[in-house]
Amino acid sequence: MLPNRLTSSVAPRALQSAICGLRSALLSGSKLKSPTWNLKLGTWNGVSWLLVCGLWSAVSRSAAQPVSWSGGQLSVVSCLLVCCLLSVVCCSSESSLLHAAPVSQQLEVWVGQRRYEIDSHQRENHTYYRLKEIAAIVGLKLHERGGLLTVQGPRGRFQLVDGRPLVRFESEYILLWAPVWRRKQNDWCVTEDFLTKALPLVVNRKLERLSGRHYRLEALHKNHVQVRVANYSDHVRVVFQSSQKAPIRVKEFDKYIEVEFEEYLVQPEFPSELPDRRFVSSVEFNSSDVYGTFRIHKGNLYYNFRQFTLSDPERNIVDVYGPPRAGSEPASTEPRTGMTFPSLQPDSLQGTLRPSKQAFQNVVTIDPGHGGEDYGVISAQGELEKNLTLGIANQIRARIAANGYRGMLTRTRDVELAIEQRSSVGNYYRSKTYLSIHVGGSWSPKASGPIVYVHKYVQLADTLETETGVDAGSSGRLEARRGLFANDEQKLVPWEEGQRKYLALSRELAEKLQNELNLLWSVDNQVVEVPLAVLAPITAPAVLIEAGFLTNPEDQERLGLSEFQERLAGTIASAVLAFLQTTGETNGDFGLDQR
Amino acid sequence: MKENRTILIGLGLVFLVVILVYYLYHLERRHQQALREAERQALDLEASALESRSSGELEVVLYFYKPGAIVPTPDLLVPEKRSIFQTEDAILTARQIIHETIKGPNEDGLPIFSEQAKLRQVYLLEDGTAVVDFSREATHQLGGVTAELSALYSITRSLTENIQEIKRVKFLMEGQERPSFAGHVSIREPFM
Ligand SMILES: [Zn+2]
Repeated sequence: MLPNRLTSSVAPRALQSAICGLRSALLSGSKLKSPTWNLKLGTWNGVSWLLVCGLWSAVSRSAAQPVSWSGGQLSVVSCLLVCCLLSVVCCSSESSLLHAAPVSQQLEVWVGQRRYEIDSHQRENHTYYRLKEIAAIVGLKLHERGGLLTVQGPRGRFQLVDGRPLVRFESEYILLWAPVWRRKQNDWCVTEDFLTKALPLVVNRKLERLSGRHYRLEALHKNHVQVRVANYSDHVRVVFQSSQKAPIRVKEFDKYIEVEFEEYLVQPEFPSELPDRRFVSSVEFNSSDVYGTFRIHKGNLYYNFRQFTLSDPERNIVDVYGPPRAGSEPASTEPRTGMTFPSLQPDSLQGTLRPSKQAFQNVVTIDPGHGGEDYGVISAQGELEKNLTLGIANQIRARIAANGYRGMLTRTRDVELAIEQRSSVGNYYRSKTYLSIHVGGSWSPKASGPIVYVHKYVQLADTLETETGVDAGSSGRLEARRGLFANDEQKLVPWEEGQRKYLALSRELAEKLQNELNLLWSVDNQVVEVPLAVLAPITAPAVLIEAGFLTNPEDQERLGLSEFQERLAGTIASAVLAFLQTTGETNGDFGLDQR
Repeated sequence: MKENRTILIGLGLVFLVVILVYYLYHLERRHQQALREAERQALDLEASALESRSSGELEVVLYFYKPGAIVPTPDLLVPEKRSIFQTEDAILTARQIIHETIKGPNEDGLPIFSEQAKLRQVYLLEDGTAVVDFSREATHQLGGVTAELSALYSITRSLTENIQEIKRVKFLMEGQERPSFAGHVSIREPFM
């Protein structure tokens, strides 16, 4: 009796609700997602319904009457049965969905809340779409002349030729899946990849691929920005009140302050009152950018500005200040020229941001390569370069610290750092030397032994001179690049030119390290010059050490031994210390005294 | 009795979950397969589009990794001849050369890129600089300076030696200028 009731009441109900859940999820689920995604959702839904039903029936049954063995057995059996049925249903609906997809090859483009469909046309196994329809949605102008079609968009234009699978954009070609097809006059067809490859170049809206043949063109709503001006005795307040909540960017230039509203097309509305001309000469709107920007032109008594926001309604405010009252700050009486950084008062920097002089003395920066998601080389046994480098770097630091130097690590944990971060640690501490620790990897398992690398500047200076001739522009650029060679020590050095002055010393350090490491391995490897991103900005003797190859079985075994790691760290540390002692006498300090 | 029953129900639930997990895994794998297939088709289409318009075959020299090479210099590469479709368009030729290099060597060289490596675009600037834009997958398995450098040297050599218009090669990653290709070598300046 019990088994009968069980099979007759619970199982069908569970099955029914499972199928219901599946179907509702399939039908109501977002059409913009892929069928696979919908299916996953449906399956989850159905199975969770099933679980709930099964549990509920079991609970209610055991509460109502004592249970028999056959009842329990049957409930499990029915559970399994339903499960199988469910997977059959899922699989069949999945295959029908997956196979049904290619039949409708319409393109679907969403612009804001509106949905457009573009019909497909078949030709020689390719699916084409009429450019006319795409142009109408996106807002392109088409102009046909001979066998050439020019497509003009808001940001630029490109050209198509009948029968070639190419889009010409400025001086570049973009390759399409299939040749462009001219059906008849003024009726051109292209393949789907035209949308992703070519269209974004000329449209000033974002085209997003949702799934399959579904795209969304991000509609740019208008942002009405009302500008108001209020004059005070020592400053002018410029208020921007916008109808859309949009991120804003404020940048200062020589002659003006630029206020840029993002995300929406700006529709400006100007003030009736005039600003105090001493501080702000005018407020202008520049519509040539994608969204449009405001420019607050500085008056001749301009001193600095402050930007903040007020809420309810949200307003962005730029206060433009004149010079402070006489006596409060003598430096301000002299006219200020060039770029200014007004929010940073020079005096406030002193004492707070500058670390003590001691922090900068005798620093050796050690950069353990890779880290975090960036594993570096992975050995056949699954050893990771990032862990090895951190271990070795820690040991080098300990040895250097024992000899009166401060070892600075760019990372002490398993984190990923940007290359610029790695270099800037070295430059910030005015390091005496910079060591980037790595372990090598090669396609050839035979490659083994240590290699010390130094930075090499690619022959930029030579190419500029020989290739383009020495015209004014290139020689000016050359001068800028070589700014650091000028006698004037105060000149700013471009970031990636930092190493140029130290190449010879780096080479000296590298030779020393290479010799010592060669002895440790008993090999005869040479120092190699390579353009290296991490070393280029370093304003100190800098090398990158690849301590053996993790792809070489013998090296890998050695590097795994803690005893060998210690010897390796000891060798590197003693070579660096020896280098510091010899150069410290002859060359003085590389670091603090120059600044 | 009662214990037996709860155990059985528990087993049933576990079985259910296992089936579900397997099913979702299967779906995901299919999805990935479909993506890969679509990519392969796109490449085939490019090849067939080329085939229909090419005026013959062109023999080019590709460069692969030299077995046993240790020190990373341009000599660590071995040449290998391969024929591609002849076109009058330098960019199409360059694309073919890079695709062939990614496919790997047929002779005794070692591969330069992993199989997942993908080329995004090639542009040619007027001053003879080819701008080669790789996807992030191109740096997979390029651990170490040697492997990274060999990839850059290989592409640079094969493009500059096979295509007259190309004098130097500038590398991009995902359409962007990056300080480094795979973490070591600087790609700020073009290679030549
Ligand atoms: Zn590394």
